[in-house]
Amino acid sequence: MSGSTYESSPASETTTSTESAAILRIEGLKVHFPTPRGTVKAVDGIDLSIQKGETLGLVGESGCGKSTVARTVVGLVHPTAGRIVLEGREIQGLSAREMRPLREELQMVFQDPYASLNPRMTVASIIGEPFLIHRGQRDADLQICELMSLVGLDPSMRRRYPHEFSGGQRQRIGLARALALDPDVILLDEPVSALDVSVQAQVMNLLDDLKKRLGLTYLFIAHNLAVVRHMSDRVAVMYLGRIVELADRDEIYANPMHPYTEALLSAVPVPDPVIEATRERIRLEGEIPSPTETIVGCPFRARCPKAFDRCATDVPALKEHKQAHWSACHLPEEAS
Amino acid sequence: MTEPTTNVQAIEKGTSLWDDAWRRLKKNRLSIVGAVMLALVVLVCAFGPMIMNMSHDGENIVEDTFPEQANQAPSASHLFGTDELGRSYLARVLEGGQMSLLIGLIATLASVIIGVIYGSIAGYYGGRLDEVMMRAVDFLYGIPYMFLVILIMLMFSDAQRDSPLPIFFALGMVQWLTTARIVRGQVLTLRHQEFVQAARVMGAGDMRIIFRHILPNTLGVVVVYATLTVPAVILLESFLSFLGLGAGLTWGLLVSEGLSVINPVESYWWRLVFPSVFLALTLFSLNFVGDGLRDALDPRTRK
Amino acid sequence: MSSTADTLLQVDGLRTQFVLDEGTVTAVDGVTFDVKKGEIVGIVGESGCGKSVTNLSVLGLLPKPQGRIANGSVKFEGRELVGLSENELRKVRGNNIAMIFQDPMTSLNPYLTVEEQLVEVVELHLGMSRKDAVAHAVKLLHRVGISDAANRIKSYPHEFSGGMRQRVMIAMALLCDPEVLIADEPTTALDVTIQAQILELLKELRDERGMGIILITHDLGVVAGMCDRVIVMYAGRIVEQAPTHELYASPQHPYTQALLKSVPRLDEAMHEHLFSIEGLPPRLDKGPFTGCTFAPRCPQVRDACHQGEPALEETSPGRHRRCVVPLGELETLA
Repeated sequence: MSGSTYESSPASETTTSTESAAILRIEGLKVHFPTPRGTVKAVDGIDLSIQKGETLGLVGESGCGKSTVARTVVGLVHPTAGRIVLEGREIQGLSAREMRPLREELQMVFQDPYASLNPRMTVASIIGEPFLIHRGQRDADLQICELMSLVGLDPSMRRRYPHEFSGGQRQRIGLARALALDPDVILLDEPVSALDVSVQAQVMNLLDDLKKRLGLTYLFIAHNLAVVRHMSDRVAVMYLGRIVELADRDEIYANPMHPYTEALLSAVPVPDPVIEATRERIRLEGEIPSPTETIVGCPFRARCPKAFDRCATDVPALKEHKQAHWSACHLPEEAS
Repeated sequence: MTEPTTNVQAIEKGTSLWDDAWRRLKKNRLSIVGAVMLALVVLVCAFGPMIMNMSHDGENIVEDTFPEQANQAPSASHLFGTDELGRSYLARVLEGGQMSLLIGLIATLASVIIGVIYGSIAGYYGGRLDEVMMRAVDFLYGIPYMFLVILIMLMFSDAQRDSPLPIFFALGMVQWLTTARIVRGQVLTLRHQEFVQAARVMGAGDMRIIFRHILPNTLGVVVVYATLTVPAVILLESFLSFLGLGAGLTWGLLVSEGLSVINPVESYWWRLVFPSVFLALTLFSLNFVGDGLRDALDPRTRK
Repeated sequence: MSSTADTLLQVDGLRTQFVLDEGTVTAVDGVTFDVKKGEIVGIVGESGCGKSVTNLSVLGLLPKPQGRIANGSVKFEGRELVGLSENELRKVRGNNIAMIFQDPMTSLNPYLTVEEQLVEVVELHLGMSRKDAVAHAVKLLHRVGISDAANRIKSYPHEFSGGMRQRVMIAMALLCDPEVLIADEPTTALDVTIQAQILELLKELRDERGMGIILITHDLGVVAGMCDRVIVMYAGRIVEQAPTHELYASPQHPYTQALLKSVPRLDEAMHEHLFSIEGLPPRLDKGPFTGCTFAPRCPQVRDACHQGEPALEETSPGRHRRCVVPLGELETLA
């Protein structure tokens, strides 16, 4: 992906038409980690843009780099290359101090509702911390109570500690903390994967409500395709640090173009025994190659049931094969 | 966020992890017994000599000698007997306890403060700095600690060694190494916890992250280790007393003197037994409390 | 639940309690089910519903000394397991009932090669010679889809990927040719494409060996594709039990209805809002409960629900439910 040209990337493509609307833009982002076993290319050249008020879903299996994308955007990880543009300002590689004012616009919700809250702090001090850091406000009791009711928690429980709450309630606390500064963009890193089915539905509905009420923009990261479908307006599929397909939600679920997306969709179990009994599964052989491996040609080639000669030599670029439907695969060209 | 909040006034109090630990500690009989014994020893040592002095108008019961009463066995007038200068052994044991406990406390405090700061800096910033700082600790570890203490003690003049300060310093210097290692290990794992990253995303600075998010979560381990350091320090001082490098009148000194007057001809057993019993009682109590704290604070014992 | 010649495992009126400082918690209450030859029985429910504790009770692996079976019986091929000595239980666990867990890494010893761990089991339980034991282990590793098994067996657990480790665990469980396999969330930690492979493997093994499988999971999609019968648990109790097709076609308990409704699924048109069950499952340490444990969250709750706990009743052969609302009055969720 050495010569990724921004002129033909989905990031700039969308921005040329609706320049003002792209609230977050990621261009040519690479995140490489040196390890004793070789360089891990966690993110290897991705372009994305998120419009204001949109939810972009980012799916992929573990190790595909989807979480690294979010962590890089919020500055927890430094990018090796590429640009991250938030509301017109480049934010990649900023120091913690330079980043601080931008935190009011950009927040993140973490996956693990148990590990993401400091066990020694009360809920009030957890949710109130952003006020303290950004506004020097020690007594934010009123705001804290408002935030708690907003996410469906009883404010009278604000002197309690995280361990006294269930997983779903904890995730609401994390959400309240992220909402405290009234951000524009929230990165949601697997926000419902650790939750039980009934609680997962509650939190998904809450996220949906909040987005509408507060005019939020989400980057929604998950491995569960059904959950992503429910939450997203557009969906990007990642494999080995790259985006292999990107399209509107309904389009990508109805007409997946990339063999990997097809396989993923067919692997998701459907809660209906009648469908399950008759369904044809695309069986992917093998597992995801180690990210330290140097792969010639298409990264998915080794597992792809439709691979052909060209896949072994050329890396397919992410191209717009249909209106607003991008795919990194040689097949559509081969067909035409 | 404009909707009226109903019950701002109503507050349900939560139970913090400390409350939880305290509840569990209270259930541990052995450590409660230890704590009570410890409190008794501390109280008796702290106020005993003072009260005894009051009944001996104007005299210093610990230091004043009464040669005519030398080496008396325990009796109604001298509960713990007397030493070869006729001093009340009860008063001397209690006075020695003051110093022993003080050494334990101050040296531990010093080791905790140094160890926590050193360990958290190394663990939090990591990388090259961590490497250099921990190699230094390894190096100091490599030197036998007795040797190190003696070396430090010898750096002070005889006059300075009359005050207990050099020994506080020497013992603290030796004990902080383990604290630093423990804290560094804890910080290293906590640094990657999601709540620390969440704080960073929130815009919290390094100081805030260290003091508000990381250190409170290492405190449990530090407290447990500290309670086990106190007896270690007291014991270490006793060894130094044997070598003649002790901090003056301590249990260690009394035990070593007591040992020297045990002989087949005439045995002044009380000179050995009483300070030893006090020393042992204190060490046991501290260990019980430490064990109890460890169980109470260890999240794995929670279901 | 009559036992037939096919019945491998029979659990009857199982009640498991944990004696804690704070009091006694009943984690599983009145659980009754059986597993027949060649059958896959699914146990579904949310975390804390008692599905894993049920499994540990069957295996005699409850944490000691807090956990104990207070009541009920567990029979393997007619033989009572409750009350057996640890030694006898160990034999049953090795030879008759095997298990695999969610996280294969925690059940494999990281300091031993896969060969050492597999061969140890074979030598212990089957009394084979070292050479035969290795050959046997290699054969099974090959069977579960590990290519180049003869060499890979020399690797340490961390040298395998998550999916491969689960395959190793399955091979290990199969070493002594067990009649029953208990799989506790075997694919929860795996990616979907790998999950599909592992589930496929389990099905094949069932067909080949006629094993009975208990599949414990929270994923209703996995159950739909895998199981012959389903048991739905809530707050330590079975609330519904039915053949899979019937359960999904016409759930007879409001909890099952709601659970099925709240899963986002790929095969249906999107709804603006997902159906969700309000509230939270009851905390079992707050028990014992007077009425139905689901009543506080139930959309179809009525007065009778609070008057004593409903019994598990058989509505048709093989179908059980624990609900006071008569079948005819049960509303289906729109």
